[in-house]
Amino acid sequence: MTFVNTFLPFIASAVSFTFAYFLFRRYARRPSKHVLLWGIGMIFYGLGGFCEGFFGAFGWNPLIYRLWYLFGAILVAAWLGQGTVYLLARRNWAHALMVILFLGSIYGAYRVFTAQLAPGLLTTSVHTGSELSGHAIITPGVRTLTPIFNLYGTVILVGGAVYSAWIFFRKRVLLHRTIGNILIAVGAIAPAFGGAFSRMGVPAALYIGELLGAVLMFIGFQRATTPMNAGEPETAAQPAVGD
Amino acid sequence: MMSKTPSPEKRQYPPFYEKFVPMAIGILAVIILVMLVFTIAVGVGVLKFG
Repeated sequence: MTFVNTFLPFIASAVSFTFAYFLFRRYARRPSKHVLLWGIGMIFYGLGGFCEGFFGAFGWNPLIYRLWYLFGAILVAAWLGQGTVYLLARRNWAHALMVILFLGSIYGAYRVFTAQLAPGLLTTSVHTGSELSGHAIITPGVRTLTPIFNLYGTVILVGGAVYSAWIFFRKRVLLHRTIGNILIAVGAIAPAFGGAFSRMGVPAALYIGELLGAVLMFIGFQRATTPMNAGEPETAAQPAVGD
Repeated sequence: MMSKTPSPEKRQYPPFYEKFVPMAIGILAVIILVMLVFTIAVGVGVLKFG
């Protein structure tokens, strides 16, 4: 048990659940599908981190592993991204994609919970077995679900946040939302960078990326939903030429 | 002769954000593109994943 593979993921999990609490509280005050789905996505994020911390503290457990792979590796990005779909896309498209995601999630859960596992294979990756990875799943076709769900979710979540930031910047309005969306986009990308550095052998990169991701998305959301203080200018109005 | 109507004030963010925001958006857009290309490359078998 080390700090990085036990406490880091537990901290990321706590941040995620806290963020989820704020999202559900906002949903209770003003129901909107995008906030609800982001809240569900952050619950998944928190579950994934909890399972990683559990593995670091107590070692291999097949149920914890399956829960980690389903929620942390497959579903989290897609459900967060689906929230952004409801925010930005037309309602009919959002509903259609939600049905596909829901059915796909059921299918993914079935495949993960019926997959054969080989915990010894965790040490074949550069993670050296101290971090969870998908290598323990030996049933063909299960791991190919991950990039499909992740690509959908990450492109939508990051792309949606970047698009929103661009729209606000183009109009030079609501600076707090511009900044917030940039932070959300960076936070959504952080776990992917963590995973990439982890594959290159950088210790704890995956868990650091996940913690950073949760923190930045949380800060970004708070920034985007909180107008700037009275003393901070949202815009700096420039006099027109000739005035 | 009609007088000119005054031009509306041009809105700008504070100077730091005028530079920072487009740079950040540009970098993020490139990252999304790279991730897309990488994932497609893995999907068609050009690159190995995992």
